[in-house]
Amino acid sequence: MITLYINFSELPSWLMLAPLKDLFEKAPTDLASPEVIWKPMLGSLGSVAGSNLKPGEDDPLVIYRARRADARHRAAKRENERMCEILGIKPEQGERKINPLY
Amino acid sequence: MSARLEVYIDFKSPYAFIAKDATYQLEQDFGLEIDWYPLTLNIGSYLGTAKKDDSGQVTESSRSPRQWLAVKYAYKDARRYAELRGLTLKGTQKIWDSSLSAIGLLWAKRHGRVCLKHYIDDTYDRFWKRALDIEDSQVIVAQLQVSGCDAEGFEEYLAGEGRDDHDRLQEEILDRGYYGVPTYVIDGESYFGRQHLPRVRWHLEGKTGPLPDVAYDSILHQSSPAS
Repeated sequence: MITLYINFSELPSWLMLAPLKDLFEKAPTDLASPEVIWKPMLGSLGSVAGSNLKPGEDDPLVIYRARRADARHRAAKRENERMCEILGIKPEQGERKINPLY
Repeated sequence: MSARLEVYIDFKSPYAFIAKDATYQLEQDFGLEIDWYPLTLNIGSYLGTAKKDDSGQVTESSRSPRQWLAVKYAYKDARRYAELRGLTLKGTQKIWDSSLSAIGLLWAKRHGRVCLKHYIDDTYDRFWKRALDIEDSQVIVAQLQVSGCDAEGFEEYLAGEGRDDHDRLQEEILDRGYYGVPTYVIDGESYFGRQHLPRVRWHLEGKTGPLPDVAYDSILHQSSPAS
Protein backbone atom coordinates (compact mmCIF):
# COMPACT_ATOMS: atom_id res chain seq x y z
CA MET A 1 0.00 0.00 0.00
CA ILE A 2 1.33 3.40 -0.96
CA THR A 3 -0.26 6.81 -0.55
CA LEU A 4 0.76 9.59 -2.90
CA TYR A 5 0.01 13.22 -2.07
CA ILE A 6 -0.04 15.53 -5.05
CA ASN A 7 -0.95 19.10 -5.94
CA PHE A 8 -2.16 19.74 -9.49
CA SER A 9 -1.07 23.37 -9.26
CA GLU A 10 2.58 22.62 -8.49
CA LEU A 11 5.19 21.59 -11.02
CA PRO A 12 7.01 19.09 -8.74
CA SER A 13 3.90 16.89 -8.74
CA TRP A 14 3.86 16.93 -12.52
CA LEU A 15 7.60 16.27 -12.74
CA MET A 16 7.18 13.31 -10.42
CA LEU A 17 4.80 11.43 -12.73
CA ALA A 18 7.27 10.13 -15.32
CA PRO A 19 9.84 8.72 -12.87
CA LEU A 20 7.02 7.36 -10.72
CA LYS A 21 5.63 5.52 -13.72
CA ASP A 22 9.09 4.05 -14.41
CA LEU A 23 9.39 3.00 -10.79
CA PHE A 24 6.02 1.29 -10.76
CA GLU A 25 6.77 -0.51 -13.99
CA LYS A 26 9.86 -1.95 -12.37
CA ALA A 27 7.99 -2.85 -9.15
CA PRO A 28 5.69 -3.91 -10.95
CA THR A 29 2.61 -2.11 -9.66
CA ASP A 30 -0.31 -0.59 -11.50
CA LEU A 31 -0.70 3.12 -10.76
CA ALA A 32 -4.46 2.63 -10.94
CA SER A 33 -4.42 -0.28 -8.49
CA PRO A 34 -6.38 0.02 -5.22
CA GLU A 35 -3.01 -0.48 -3.53
CA VAL A 36 -2.04 3.01 -4.73
CA ILE A 37 -3.99 5.76 -3.01
CA TRP A 38 -3.88 9.24 -4.52
CA LYS A 39 -4.70 12.21 -2.29
CA PRO A 40 -4.60 15.97 -2.82
CA MET A 41 -2.23 17.96 -0.64
CA LEU A 42 -2.10 21.71 -0.68
CA GLY A 43 0.29 22.33 2.23
CA SER A 44 4.05 22.69 2.02
CA LEU A 45 6.90 23.68 4.30
CA GLY A 46 6.48 27.24 3.10
CA SER A 47 2.94 27.28 4.43
CA VAL A 48 3.89 26.09 7.92
CA ALA A 49 6.93 28.31 8.32
CA GLY A 50 6.36 31.73 9.75
CA SER A 51 5.99 33.78 12.87
CA ASN A 52 4.14 32.57 15.96
CA LEU A 53 3.88 36.04 17.47
CA LYS A 54 0.61 37.02 19.07
CA PRO A 55 -1.22 40.02 17.59
CA GLY A 56 0.31 43.25 18.80
CA GLU A 57 3.64 41.70 19.78
CA ASP A 58 6.76 43.34 18.36
CA ASP A 59 8.73 41.12 16.02
CA PRO A 60 12.48 41.67 16.51
CA LEU A 61 13.16 39.55 13.44
CA VAL A 62 10.81 41.33 11.08
CA ILE A 63 13.62 42.61 8.83
CA TYR A 64 15.47 39.30 8.77
CA ARG A 65 12.25 37.43 8.06
CA ALA A 66 11.36 39.70 5.16
CA ARG A 67 14.85 39.54 3.65
CA ARG A 68 14.96 35.76 3.93
CA ALA A 69 11.52 35.49 2.36
CA ASP A 70 12.71 37.65 -0.52
CA ALA A 71 15.75 35.41 -1.05
CA ARG A 72 13.51 32.33 -0.91
CA HIS A 73 11.13 33.77 -3.50
CA ARG A 74 13.99 34.59 -5.87
CA ALA A 75 15.35 31.05 -5.54
CA ALA A 76 11.86 29.60 -6.06
CA LYS A 77 11.48 31.64 -9.24
CA ARG A 78 14.75 30.27 -10.58
CA GLU A 79 13.81 26.73 -9.62
CA ASN A 80 10.50 27.20 -11.37
CA GLU A 81 12.42 28.12 -14.55
CA ARG A 82 14.50 24.95 -14.24
CA MET A 83 11.42 22.77 -13.79
CA CYS A 84 9.84 24.40 -16.85
CA GLU A 85 12.99 23.60 -18.83
CA ILE A 86 12.70 19.92 -17.90
CA LEU A 87 8.97 19.86 -18.69
CA GLY A 88 9.49 21.71 -21.96
CA ILE A 89 7.12 24.56 -21.12
CA LYS A 90 7.62 28.30 -20.95
CA PRO A 91 8.41 29.88 -17.54
CA GLU A 92 5.29 32.03 -17.90
CA GLN A 93 3.23 28.86 -18.08
CA GLY A 94 4.90 27.52 -14.97
CA GLU A 95 4.25 30.73 -13.09
CA ARG A 96 0.51 30.63 -13.77
CA LYS A 97 -1.47 30.67 -10.57
CA ILE A 98 -4.00 27.88 -10.60
CA ASN A 99 -6.51 27.21 -7.87
CA PRO A 100 -5.82 23.56 -7.03
CA LEU A 101 -9.18 23.17 -5.30
CA TYR A 102 -11.03 22.96 -8.60
CA MET B 1 40.98 26.17 -15.38
CA SER B 2 38.53 24.39 -13.09
CA ALA B 3 35.21 25.91 -12.10
CA ARG B 4 34.78 27.79 -8.85
CA LEU B 5 32.32 26.18 -6.47
CA GLU B 6 31.04 27.99 -3.38
CA VAL B 7 29.30 25.92 -0.72
CA TYR B 8 27.32 27.45 2.15
CA ILE B 9 26.86 25.41 5.32
CA ASP B 10 25.68 25.67 8.91
CA PHE B 11 26.89 23.22 11.55
CA LYS B 12 23.45 23.04 13.15
CA SER B 13 21.77 21.89 9.94
CA PRO B 14 21.31 18.09 9.73
CA TYR B 15 20.86 18.41 5.97
CA ALA B 16 24.18 20.16 5.51
CA PHE B 17 25.79 17.49 7.69
CA ILE B 18 24.57 14.57 5.62
CA ALA B 19 25.49 16.39 2.39
CA LYS B 20 29.08 16.97 3.47
CA ASP B 21 30.77 13.82 2.17
CA ALA B 22 28.97 13.90 -1.18
CA THR B 23 30.03 17.54 -1.45
CA TYR B 24 33.68 16.73 -0.74
CA GLN B 25 33.44 14.10 -3.45
CA LEU B 26 32.99 16.91 -5.97
CA GLU B 27 36.51 18.15 -5.18
CA GLN B 28 37.94 14.77 -6.06
CA ASP B 29 35.79 14.16 -9.11
CA PHE B 30 36.26 17.59 -10.67
CA GLY B 31 39.69 18.58 -9.38
CA LEU B 32 38.43 21.74 -7.73
CA GLU B 33 38.76 23.38 -4.35
CA ILE B 34 35.47 24.24 -2.71
CA ASP B 35 35.18 27.73 -1.27
CA TRP B 36 33.30 27.12 2.00
CA TYR B 37 31.17 29.81 3.63
CA PRO B 38 29.12 29.79 6.82
CA LEU B 39 25.44 30.61 6.43
CA THR B 40 24.12 30.99 9.96
CA LEU B 41 20.44 30.14 9.94
CA ASN B 42 17.93 31.73 12.27
CA ILE B 43 15.75 28.63 12.41
CA GLY B 44 13.52 30.03 15.13
CA SER B 45 12.40 32.82 12.81
CA TYR B 46 10.62 30.38 10.50
CA LEU B 47 10.17 27.13 12.41
CA GLY B 48 9.70 28.41 15.96
CA THR B 49 11.88 27.50 18.93
CA ALA B 50 11.87 24.65 21.46
CA LYS B 51 13.98 23.05 24.16
CA LYS B 52 14.09 19.46 25.34
CA ASP B 53 15.61 17.95 28.49
CA ASP B 54 17.90 14.92 28.56
CA SER B 55 14.91 12.58 28.67
CA GLY B 56 13.57 14.06 25.44
CA GLN B 57 10.68 15.90 27.10
CA VAL B 58 9.85 19.31 25.64
CA THR B 59 10.44 21.96 28.31
CA GLU B 60 9.88 25.08 26.20
CA SER B 61 8.21 25.58 22.83
CA SER B 62 6.91 28.36 20.63
CA ARG B 63 6.14 25.99 17.77
CA SER B 64 2.77 25.37 16.22
CA PRO B 65 1.68 21.72 15.74
CA ARG B 66 2.42 22.05 12.02
CA GLN B 67 5.89 23.39 12.71
CA TRP B 68 6.51 20.40 15.00
CA LEU B 69 5.42 18.08 12.21
CA ALA B 70 7.79 19.78 9.78
CA VAL B 71 10.72 19.61 12.22
CA LYS B 72 10.07 15.98 13.16
CA TYR B 73 9.82 14.97 9.51
CA ALA B 74 13.05 16.83 8.70
CA TYR B 75 14.95 14.88 11.36
CA LYS B 76 13.37 11.57 10.38
CA ASP B 77 14.34 12.15 6.77
CA ALA B 78 17.87 13.28 7.63
CA ARG B 79 18.37 10.25 9.90
CA ARG B 80 17.50 7.84 7.09
CA TYR B 81 20.38 9.15 5.04
CA ALA B 82 22.72 9.51 8.02
CA GLU B 83 22.19 5.82 8.77
CA LEU B 84 22.92 4.99 5.16
CA ARG B 85 26.29 6.68 5.58
CA GLY B 86 27.01 5.29 9.04
CA LEU B 87 26.77 8.75 10.61
CA THR B 88 25.45 9.49 14.09
CA LEU B 89 22.74 12.14 14.01
CA LYS B 90 21.15 12.86 17.37
CA GLY B 91 18.39 15.45 17.34
CA THR B 92 19.39 18.70 18.99
CA GLN B 93 17.82 19.65 22.33
CA LYS B 94 17.49 23.32 21.44
CA ILE B 95 18.10 25.67 18.55
CA TRP B 96 21.75 26.52 18.78
CA ASP B 97 23.40 29.80 17.95
CA SER B 98 26.02 28.45 15.56
CA SER B 99 27.68 31.78 14.85
CA LEU B 100 30.80 31.03 16.95
CA SER B 101 31.44 27.83 15.02
CA ALA B 102 30.80 29.79 11.81
CA ILE B 103 33.44 32.33 12.78
CA GLY B 104 35.69 29.38 13.57
CA LEU B 105 35.17 28.24 9.98
CA LEU B 106 36.22 31.67 8.69
CA TRP B 107 39.34 31.46 10.87
CA ALA B 108 40.10 27.91 9.73
CA LYS B 109 39.90 29.04 6.09
CA ARG B 110 42.84 31.32 6.77
CA HIS B 111 44.92 28.39 7.95
CA GLY B 112 44.83 26.13 4.95
CA ARG B 113 42.67 23.45 3.45
CA VAL B 114 43.86 20.57 5.62
CA CYS B 115 43.01 22.44 8.79
CA LEU B 116 39.70 23.60 7.32
CA LYS B 117 38.65 20.09 6.35
CA HIS B 118 39.53 18.72 9.78
CA TYR B 119 37.61 21.54 11.41
CA ILE B 120 34.49 20.99 9.30
CA ASP B 121 34.59 17.20 9.68
CA ASP B 122 35.25 17.12 13.40
CA THR B 123 32.84 19.93 14.30
CA TYR B 124 30.00 18.28 12.39
CA ASP B 125 30.81 14.84 13.71
CA ARG B 126 30.98 15.84 17.38
CA PHE B 127 28.10 18.30 17.27
CA TRP B 128 25.70 15.69 15.92
CA LYS B 129 26.83 13.25 18.60
CA ARG B 130 25.84 15.95 21.14
CA ALA B 131 29.47 16.11 22.19
CA LEU B 132 30.15 19.75 21.36
CA ASP B 133 28.87 22.98 22.86
CA ILE B 134 29.23 25.27 19.87
CA GLU B 135 28.12 28.29 21.89
CA ASP B 136 31.26 28.09 24.05
CA SER B 137 34.20 30.04 22.61
CA GLN B 138 36.72 27.84 24.47
CA VAL B 139 35.22 24.81 22.77
CA ILE B 140 35.71 26.44 19.38
CA VAL B 141 39.31 27.30 20.28
CA ALA B 142 39.86 23.64 21.19
CA GLN B 143 38.22 22.54 17.93
CA LEU B 144 40.58 24.72 15.94
CA GLN B 145 43.60 23.35 17.81
CA VAL B 146 42.49 19.74 17.37
CA SER B 147 42.05 20.49 13.67
CA GLY B 148 45.64 21.66 13.39
CA CYS B 149 44.86 25.38 13.15
CA ASP B 150 46.92 27.93 15.01
CA ALA B 151 44.31 29.36 17.42
CA GLU B 152 46.58 32.14 18.74
CA GLY B 153 44.56 35.35 18.45
CA PHE B 154 41.28 33.61 17.68
CA GLU B 155 39.47 34.98 20.71
CA GLU B 156 40.35 38.55 19.74
CA TYR B 157 39.20 37.77 16.19
CA LEU B 158 35.98 36.29 17.54
CA ALA B 159 35.17 39.43 19.49
CA GLY B 160 36.13 41.85 16.73
CA GLU B 161 37.01 41.32 13.10
CA GLY B 162 35.62 37.79 12.93
CA ARG B 163 32.23 38.77 14.33
CA ASP B 164 32.09 41.78 12.01
CA ASP B 165 33.04 39.66 8.99
CA HIS B 166 30.49 37.00 9.89
CA ASP B 167 27.64 39.43 10.42
CA ARG B 168 28.43 41.34 7.22
CA LEU B 169 28.64 38.06 5.33
CA GLN B 170 25.18 37.03 6.54
CA GLU B 171 23.76 40.27 5.16
CA GLU B 172 25.54 39.76 1.84
CA ILE B 173 24.34 36.16 1.64
CA LEU B 174 20.72 37.25 1.89
CA ASP B 175 21.38 39.95 -0.74
CA ARG B 176 22.77 37.26 -3.05
CA GLY B 177 19.54 35.30 -2.61
CA TYR B 178 20.86 32.36 -0.58
CA TYR B 179 18.72 31.41 2.39
CA GLY B 180 19.34 27.78 3.35
CA VAL B 181 22.01 25.10 3.56
CA PRO B 182 23.65 23.46 1.86
CA THR B 183 23.67 25.94 -1.00
CA TYR B 184 25.95 25.38 -3.97
CA VAL B 185 26.95 28.26 -6.25
CA ILE B 186 28.69 27.94 -9.61
CA ASP B 187 29.03 30.84 -12.05
CA GLY B 188 26.44 32.78 -10.04
CA GLU B 189 23.87 29.98 -10.37
CA SER B 190 22.68 28.78 -6.97
CA TYR B 191 21.30 25.38 -6.01
CA PHE B 192 19.78 24.96 -2.56
CA GLY B 193 19.72 21.51 -1.06
CA ARG B 194 21.64 18.31 -1.58
CA GLN B 195 18.93 17.08 -3.94
CA HIS B 196 20.60 19.43 -6.43
CA LEU B 197 23.91 17.56 -6.37
CA PRO B 198 23.15 15.84 -9.71
CA ARG B 199 22.58 19.32 -11.19
CA VAL B 200 25.76 20.63 -9.59
CA ARG B 201 27.62 17.76 -11.25
CA TRP B 202 25.89 18.48 -14.55
CA HIS B 203 26.91 22.14 -14.27
CA LEU B 204 30.51 21.25 -13.41
CA GLU B 205 30.61 18.87 -16.38
CA GLY B 206 29.86 21.80 -18.68
CA LYS B 207 26.06 21.47 -18.84
CA THR B 208 26.23 18.74 -21.42
CA GLY B 209 22.96 16.94 -22.02
CA PRO B 210 19.57 17.83 -20.58
CA LEU B 211 19.19 19.45 -17.17
CA PRO B 212 18.75 16.59 -14.69
CA ASP B 213 15.82 16.53 -12.28
CA VAL B 214 16.43 16.80 -8.54
CA ALA B 215 17.51 13.56 -6.86
CA TYR B 216 19.60 12.57 -3.90
CA ASP B 217 23.17 11.88 -4.96
CA SER B 218 23.83 8.16 -4.95
CA ILE B 219 27.56 8.44 -5.67
CA LEU B 220 28.53 7.70 -2.08
CA HIS B 221 26.02 4.92 -1.58
CA GLN B 222 28.25 2.70 -3.68
CA SER B 223 31.18 3.12 -1.31
CA SER B 224 31.52 1.88 2.25
CA PRO B 225 29.94 3.91 5.06
CA ALA B 226 31.97 6.63 6.78
CA SER B 227 33.97 5.44 9.77
